[in-house]
Amino acid sequence: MTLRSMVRRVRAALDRHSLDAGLDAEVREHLEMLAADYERKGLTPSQARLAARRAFGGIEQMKEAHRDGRGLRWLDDARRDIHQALRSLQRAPVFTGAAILTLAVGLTAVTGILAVLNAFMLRAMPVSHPEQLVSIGTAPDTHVQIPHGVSFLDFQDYRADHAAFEDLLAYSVAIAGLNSDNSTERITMYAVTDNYFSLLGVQPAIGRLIQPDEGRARGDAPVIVLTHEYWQARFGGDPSVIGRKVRLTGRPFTIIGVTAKSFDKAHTLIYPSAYIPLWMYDDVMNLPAGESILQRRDNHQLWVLGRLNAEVRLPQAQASLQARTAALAREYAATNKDSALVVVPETHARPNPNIGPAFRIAGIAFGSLAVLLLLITSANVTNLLMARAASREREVSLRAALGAGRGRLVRQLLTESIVLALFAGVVALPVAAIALRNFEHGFATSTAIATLRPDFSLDLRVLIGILVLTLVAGVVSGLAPALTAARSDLSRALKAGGRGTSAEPRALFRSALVVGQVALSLMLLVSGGLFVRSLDRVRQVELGFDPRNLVVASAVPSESGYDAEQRSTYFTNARHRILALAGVESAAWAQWIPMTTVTDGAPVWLESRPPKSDEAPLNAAAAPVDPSYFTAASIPILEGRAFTDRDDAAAMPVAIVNQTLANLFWPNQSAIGRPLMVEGSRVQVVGVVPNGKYYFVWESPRAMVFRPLAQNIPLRATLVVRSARQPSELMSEVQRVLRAVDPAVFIYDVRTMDQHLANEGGGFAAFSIGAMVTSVFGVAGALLAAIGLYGMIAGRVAHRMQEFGVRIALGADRGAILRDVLGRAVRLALVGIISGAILAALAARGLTTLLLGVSPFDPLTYVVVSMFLVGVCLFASFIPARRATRVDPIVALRAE
Amino acid sequence: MSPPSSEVPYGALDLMVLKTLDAMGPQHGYGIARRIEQMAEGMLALNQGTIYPALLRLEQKGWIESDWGTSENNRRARFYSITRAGRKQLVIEADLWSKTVAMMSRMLGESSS
Repeated sequence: MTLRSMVRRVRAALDRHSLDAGLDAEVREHLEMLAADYERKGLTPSQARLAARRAFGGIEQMKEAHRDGRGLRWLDDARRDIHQALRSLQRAPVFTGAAILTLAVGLTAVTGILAVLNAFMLRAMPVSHPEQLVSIGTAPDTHVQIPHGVSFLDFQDYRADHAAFEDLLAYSVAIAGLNSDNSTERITMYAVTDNYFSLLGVQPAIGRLIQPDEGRARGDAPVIVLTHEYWQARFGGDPSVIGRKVRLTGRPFTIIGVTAKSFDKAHTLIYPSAYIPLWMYDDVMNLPAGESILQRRDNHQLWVLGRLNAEVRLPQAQASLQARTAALAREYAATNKDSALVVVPETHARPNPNIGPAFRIAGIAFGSLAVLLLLITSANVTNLLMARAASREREVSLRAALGAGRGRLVRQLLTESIVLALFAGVVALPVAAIALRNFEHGFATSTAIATLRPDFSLDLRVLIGILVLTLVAGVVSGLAPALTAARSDLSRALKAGGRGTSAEPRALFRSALVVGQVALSLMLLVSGGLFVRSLDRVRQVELGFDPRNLVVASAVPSESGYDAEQRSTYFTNARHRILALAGVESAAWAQWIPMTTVTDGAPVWLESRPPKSDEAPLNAAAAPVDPSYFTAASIPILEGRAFTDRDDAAAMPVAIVNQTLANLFWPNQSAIGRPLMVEGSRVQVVGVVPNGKYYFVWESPRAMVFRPLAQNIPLRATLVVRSARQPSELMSEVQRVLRAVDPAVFIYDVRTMDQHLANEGGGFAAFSIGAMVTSVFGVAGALLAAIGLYGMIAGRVAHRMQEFGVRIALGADRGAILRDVLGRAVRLALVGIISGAILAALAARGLTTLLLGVSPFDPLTYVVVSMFLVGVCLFASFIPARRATRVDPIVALRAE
Repeated sequence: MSPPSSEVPYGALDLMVLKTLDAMGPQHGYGIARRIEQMAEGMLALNQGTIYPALLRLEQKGWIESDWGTSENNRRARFYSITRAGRKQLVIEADLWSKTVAMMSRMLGESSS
């Protein structure tokens, strides 16, 4: 078929009516001319019309042949099949509703997961040639245990020598108050290298973007670029903002441009409102000179992207970078000795190389579970269709007898299940969209430290994916019933009266289907059970402090441009005002609290044994805290003393260490009174506290050093308030008081410690989400399997009613009939459970890295969920089984 | 009584239509049918309606084209005409047809002798 005739045929199929009309006119004209000729030969008008009809032949047959010839036959058939499917579904509203809702459950699950996977793994960055972008991070080391970013100095060395790359760019998240027209708004920004926009290929909407070689020196060219959305929201899209002066943390900046609208969607989780040159980072964040991110090789804070040269493949790039890493490790052993790089495609490191790999594993695991759920729902619909096929056998047989080919019959029945699936998709999309909005909201409100805004929208890519999955689900659920129906023996079905044949193969198939469903739902339940157990374990982890009755609130005086003295005054005033609140037992500031997003660490060593030039010192978790911190958090002092108000800036620097640190440096001795080097300065250990969890709930014991807040005034800090009062009430009072102390200071994340732990990535958040998603899947799967089992048993009972009636009439024990029916159900359930357990054990390995403290083969989980499933199956089959025992022999026999 | 008439052999109708249009220029469906019947001199049982699927086939192959025009009694009618490709095809098919006829008559002549 040539392209032109193809086009003509498609048009013909779609444009059926006007073409039919054309043909009609032609035929009418033909008949009239023919009749006129006959009249001329002497026939009467009515005779002539009849003769013309005869000479012309069957008009309808001709039209049919014409239609077949001109259009695409299958397209035309499909239209007819869809029409017929709609009518036939309309006639069975209960069946249709049940099938649509069932499939919608599975489709909602896959839609939701696919939208999340799209954001974290699939969607291309809206920049030129996103496929060339790779993420470069530092591999996990023994101290931090998760991959992290790259230091600025290392980045410069990599960038200077990058044969495999067009170039490398780096950025870091910066947060500051942006002051314009006398109002300050706290915004999240990216501090970016000069080549950030040029390398990504981003265009300005107006003005210009940060250019290569712009602001290379500290303090030079203080410029800021706005995102399109922020420009609209804050400045109403006013083009005259270009050249306007604004202030960030009190420093003047000039707005030079706005990024293209499409670039707003370039970021996965953290949502910047503006971009500043990386070289401004220290100033904007008010970092003291010693902590400059530009000068410390051990500060792995930058996220790095590289653009591969055309022709260069990822492994080559990895090899060339690793060579550089090895050279740096030799040259700067003190900081780089054990470091290694992780170089992966950009899509593998979202939202950043830290959590990207975990998101990926979780995404794939949850995606597989969602597909299992979809399979179960498809099996249920298969089951429904089989039951329906049994009752439609006569209709199908009749159509076959009237000459419908087997292929046509199969296609017609498949059309029906595909139409069902499409309706289910229509139901699933809005449900999934609402769930995704809630999930987005959960992310966005988990912390206010930075603007988090994931984009789980159902974009074209997701919609196409869903359409494909929907069609597949339609075919999968309809194929077997369609083939069976079309194969059914004509004469037998027609002869067997209204009852259909219900041949044994079909019953066998339906049993197999139920077994499969039970098996799959057991897999889902096992994974749900493992996640719940894991969450339970992680909740029982010894945190090292008492999270009950605590309210926390964070403040960042540094963003208001406060120096150390002003910050110290703020912290002291605020603490006193909070202590004055009724019912507050103790209150203390800590630079950061456990499991929070932004933490800190410090290199520590013994003065007597300084690290050799080729040796990296121990990197301990480190936080300045108020003297009352240990009381407020209920951390017992094992040895020595807590800090006091006398441990101030004028006094001798002191520290409190945890057991891990004490045992590392002074095994089997007392640590009290010993000197310790922390970030190069000498402090005296005055106390030892038990180990706790600091960065993540699931970390292994880690060295920790506390120092007095008065001796190390932090940029930001979190207030920990212990009180027996109702938390919700206390929270609003704490918020009000902190605002009142100094309205200029940004206060965020005022909540209970329990909420903090539940929300933070380092806390229980991932475990709760995992447990919730997998148990919802598991319970939904089990219910659907139970419905499938119920349907099958009920169908069999209905079919055997007369037999039961006869048996009861002959004096059979009703208990025996109950056992007969239940026995079959239990056998099926057990076969399903056993095969499901084997499958689950094979598949559970994939969950290993996501589970904490629970083996993927945890026997308790397997036993409990198997028993649960047996119970559900028994319940589902008990209802029809009881009906079997209640059959009235008279009624059953009379029906014959 | 009319002489025994036979069904149209497969493929022959298309060739007849092409030949008619080649010989007579643009024609509407009835004109084509009438011409074919005249030429057959009653030896063909043509259901005139069957030429419409044939016309569609030929048009899809690009051998004829059609346009709306006015019939002899001033009514709207669809006129078909042969294309350049149709003329080429006509030559090929006519050649093929005469070869087939020659071959058939040789065969039939042999078997009956």
